[in-house]
This record gives sequence, structure tokens and C-alpha cells, in this order.
Amino acid sequence: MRIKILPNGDLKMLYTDAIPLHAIGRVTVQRASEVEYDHARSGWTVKLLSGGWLGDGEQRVEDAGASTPFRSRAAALAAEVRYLEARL
Amino acid sequence: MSHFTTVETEITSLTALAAAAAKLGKPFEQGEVDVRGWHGNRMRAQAKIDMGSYDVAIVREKRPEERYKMVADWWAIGMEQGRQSDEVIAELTREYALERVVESCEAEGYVIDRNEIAIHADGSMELVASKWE
Repeated sequence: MRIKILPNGDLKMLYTDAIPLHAIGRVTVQRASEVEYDHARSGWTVKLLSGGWLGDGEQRVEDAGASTPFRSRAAALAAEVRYLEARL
Repeated sequence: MSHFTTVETEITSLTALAAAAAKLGKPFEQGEVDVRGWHGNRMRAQAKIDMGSYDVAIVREKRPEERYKMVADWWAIGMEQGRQSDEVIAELTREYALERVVESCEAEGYVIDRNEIAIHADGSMELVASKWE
């Protein structure tokens, strides 16, 4: 779990129930991505709500067809978290 | 499905604030304290941080009661330290936030290596909390 403390002291991170965020301050939550099953390619894909999909090498690609279909949902979720946490 | 989360840090723990002040080398005093301002002005507060010739008062807000705010003669502190109020408040809040994050993570069984905390030029910090599952 990666946590960024911003210059003004606020926190930015991916949402988690693992620690009591509300005890630290006022929480704002915004959806960042969706993990969906692609029936045509028999794999899980990561759609980024800022635009695009997760592709090879965990880079953003514009075209859904160029996105990486992950064999397991767990692998897609792990890649999604790595990508988003690198861009907090 | 992931969600970006922002936590607007609020001062609710004087223990964590005392630890933050200590890390910045600033004496912290808790209780009914006398706070020093410009030209001998004084006020009372629940705690204070010694900034040199003047203090930052830690004042309990009326609502909600468990939250505190920083009050000071910022002009006098700025003249003495050459820093604006927002810089001083941001620095204290960052260190306070770090204390709260570490404390919260450790209470839930996470480990944070303080030596691995990245500190950027703008004062922002990044840390990783890990857990053996």
C-alpha cells in the first residue's frame, strides 16, 4: 500500500478499509478504474477512468483492443494497483 | 475496481502533533499554556509549539471539539523565521500526517520502514506500508 503525503499535509492513496482513514481527516473518494471480463479475448481488462486501458508493460493504451487481457482477475487487480499507485 | 482517495488531514491528536513538532526540533507543551505573540501579546491555548521568540497556539475548535487549529502571530513568526504562515502550517501538518499514518498502519499490523520514506523537493512524501499475509 503506497501513501503519498502532499505538500499541504493531505494524503493521497488508493482507497482501503485496512486503516481508519476517517480518523485522520475528511475523506474524498473518486473511482479510478474498472476491471472487467472481456469475453471475446477470454481475459480480464483494466479500464482507466481517466481514459484508455492498461496495455502491455502496464502502460496506458488508447484502444480497448490494444489492452492486455489478464488470465486471472487477481493479476488484473494487481497490475491495476501498481499502475495507479505509481501515479498518485 | 480502485478508487483514488484524498484525506484532508485534520489535527485531532495532540500526541501525534507533539511527535511531529519534536521531529522538527520544536518544543511542544500541552496543558493550559501561555502563548507568546508580537510585542508581549499573550493568549491561552490547549497546547503550543515554540517557534523561537513566538509560539504557535494549538486551539481546540468549538465544533467538532476533538479537532484543533493552529493560531499564531504569523507576521511576527514570519519576520523572525523568514517563512509564511502557510509554509509553517504545511510543514507541521505533513509531519503530523506522517505520524498519524504510521500509527494507524502499525495498529493494523502494517510495517513502514521510515528509512525508505521518499521526501520530494516540494515537501511531499511517499511511503509504502507492507504486511505479511
